Amino acid sequence: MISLEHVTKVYKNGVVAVDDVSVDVEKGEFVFIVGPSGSGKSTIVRLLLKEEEATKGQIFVAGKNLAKLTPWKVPYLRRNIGTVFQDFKLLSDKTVFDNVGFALEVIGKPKHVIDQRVPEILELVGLGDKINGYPDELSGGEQQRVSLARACVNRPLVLLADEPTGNLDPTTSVDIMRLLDRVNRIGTTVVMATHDQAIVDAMRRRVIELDAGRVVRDQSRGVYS
Amino acid sequence: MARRVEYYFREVTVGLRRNGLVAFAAISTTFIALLLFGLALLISRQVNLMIAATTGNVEVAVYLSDPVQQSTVENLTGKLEELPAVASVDYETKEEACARFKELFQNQRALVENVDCSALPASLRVKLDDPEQYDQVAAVLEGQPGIDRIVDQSRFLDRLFAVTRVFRVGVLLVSFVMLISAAILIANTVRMGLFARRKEIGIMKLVGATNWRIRIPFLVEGIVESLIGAAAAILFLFGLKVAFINPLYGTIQFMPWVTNADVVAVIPWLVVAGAVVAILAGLVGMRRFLDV
Repeated sequence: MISLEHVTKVYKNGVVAVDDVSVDVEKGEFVFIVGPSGSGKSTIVRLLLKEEEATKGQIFVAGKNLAKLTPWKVPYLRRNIGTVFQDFKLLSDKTVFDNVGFALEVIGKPKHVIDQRVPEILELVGLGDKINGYPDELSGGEQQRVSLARACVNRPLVLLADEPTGNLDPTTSVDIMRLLDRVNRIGTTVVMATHDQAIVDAMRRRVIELDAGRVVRDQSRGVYS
Repeated sequence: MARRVEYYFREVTVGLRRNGLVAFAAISTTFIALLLFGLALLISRQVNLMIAATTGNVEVAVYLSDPVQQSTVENLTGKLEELPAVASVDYETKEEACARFKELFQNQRALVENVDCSALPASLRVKLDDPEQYDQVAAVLEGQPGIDRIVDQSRFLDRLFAVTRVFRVGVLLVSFVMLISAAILIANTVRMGLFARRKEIGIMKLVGATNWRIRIPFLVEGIVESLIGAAAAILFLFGLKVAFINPLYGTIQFMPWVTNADVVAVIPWLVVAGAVVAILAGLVGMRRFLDV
């Protein structure tokens, strides 16, 4: 599903964020990318979304060679990738329903699809009763669940989560992880960048550890360190 | 399709309301620019009408000194007709001049009553194939007896047209500068709109909205601004035409003036100019902002 072959990313200011990384992720896998700040976790997420281009090496996502993907095809790649971030990225002037529906609306899905899928996915993440609320009225964990609902509403093949529990307390984080696990069990490939040791240790999934842009460990059913 | 139209409509109205003041500046600058552009076009039209109406009638008038000798008339007519540039020579007697004067000023009774017809000179009306060849006529008549004065009407018209041309070019230049200002202001509203909604745009890109899906509301916003300006300019042009041209109808005989149809003919130009300026400004305004 995801394949990195000797990928190096050097930013314009000369910083080497990712250094000769080769990783394969199978369809339906759940992978943690761990490592200290600046180890290259977020850069890998950005590379997979083609927000950044690899300086060297090849990246394949959902069968597409990202280097050969023309700019106008990038949106179609992203429709196969759901994303969740530490800061939720919700629009405060839209209701919960509209925040999730927005993701379908801007890719041209008809209204009846939105009206059907949005309540469905919000029910799934446990926010069926907050559907007309605004993000500011929700707790951090609830906001992240809205964000997760938005990432999944278009049924992506891959879910990228960049520090999804970074702003949440441990109990709330566990709720989010349960949801990510559930998303993974219905066949979605999940890649989660994190430095939340407790979560990684509790989940016992594949762990790829980065340090200064290099893979220093790739272990199935691993722990944080 | 209806859903898509509804989406764009909503995005555009939200955008216009959000930066109302800048939108107003863009609209009013577009209005002034397009008004001047329309004025320049109408002035051109007026000049062309005047040229078309007068060129066929342009004559050189050779006024003869009193009393007119028949031999002088024959002598001068003969000399003029030998010239290749001369199309025709007509002798206008004092009586004919008087009749023409009365017809020309029939609306101004006081003038007709107070002018003594015997004061009007007889003349030779020389029509030229090419009005530029006046010098030949002047050379032949040089030093001939019995001539009071030679008037080349094309000289006078040339000067009139030269003045209007300069005026037209001036108005065009000003409208061009105003169009550039309008473009900059529209680009600015587009950019402010993009900035105000950068978070939304970031999410749209993330979930896979195509670039045009993101761009079109902003482009349409600019086009709407410029079309509102164009509509105001068109109304104002009609107003100007009614206020200043309508009273001129019939005041000068045989002189055509721009009509409502001419103003209508200018409308597509203004609309196209407004739309093109808005699209270019929009594309410039959103450049850089929308790289994937």
